[in-house]
Amino acid sequence: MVGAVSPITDVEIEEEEKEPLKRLLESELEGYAELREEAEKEWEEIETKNPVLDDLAEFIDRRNVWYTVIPEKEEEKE
Amino acid sequence: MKDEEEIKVRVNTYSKNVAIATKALLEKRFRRKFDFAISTRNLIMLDCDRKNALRPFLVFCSGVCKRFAGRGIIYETPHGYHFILLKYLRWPRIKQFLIMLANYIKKENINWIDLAHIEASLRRGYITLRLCQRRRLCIIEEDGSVKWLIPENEVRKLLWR
Repeated sequence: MVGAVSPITDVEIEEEEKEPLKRLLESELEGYAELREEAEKEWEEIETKNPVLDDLAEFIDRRNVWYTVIPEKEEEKE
Repeated sequence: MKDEEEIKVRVNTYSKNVAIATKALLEKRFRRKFDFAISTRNLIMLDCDRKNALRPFLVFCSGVCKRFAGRGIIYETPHGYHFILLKYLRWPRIKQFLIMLANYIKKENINWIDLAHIEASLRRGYITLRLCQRRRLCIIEEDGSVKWLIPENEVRKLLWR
């Protein structure tokens, strides 16, 4: 097929490369689950306590509002 | 160089699950906190970062509602107030308004509307607002009239801070 992309399973990984790659992946993911859980809780709080999403529900459905993730502003901390 | 200048990453998505996962991944990668926000190019959203400036901000927002014949809401945030005009507008109209507003702020030396927020919106082509609103303070009708959603004694306190 023209333009087809080989699936990732086609990549052959040498036996001696597997362990360092596994360690790299594990180190990349270390702590991610906790951070994701925290982010989920934060989102739940926004959905239950913050009135903005309710007010914008109509506009979000119309797909002219999107969710954004931006670096926290230090001076906005209380 | 400050962290804020080093990290320019921002991610826009229609999916809240992608936003949640992205926040966790960015926090892991950059070892600092990220905030959820909303972005749009079809709504006017303004940021007042002075707690003691509700009166002028309210008068200004009331004028915006009248001008665009739309309903608006003012929210309380940890460091001031946010205003959202609940009326669908096209970006060229919003852009024109933001340019006029930025010029007005500079000319009149106004410090209660966040000029950097407006300039960043003009640069990016859309407006972003952090999702840090605590509660609705009031609804402003199309004719500019204000309906308070908090007790009267609190209104007085906020207006005369």
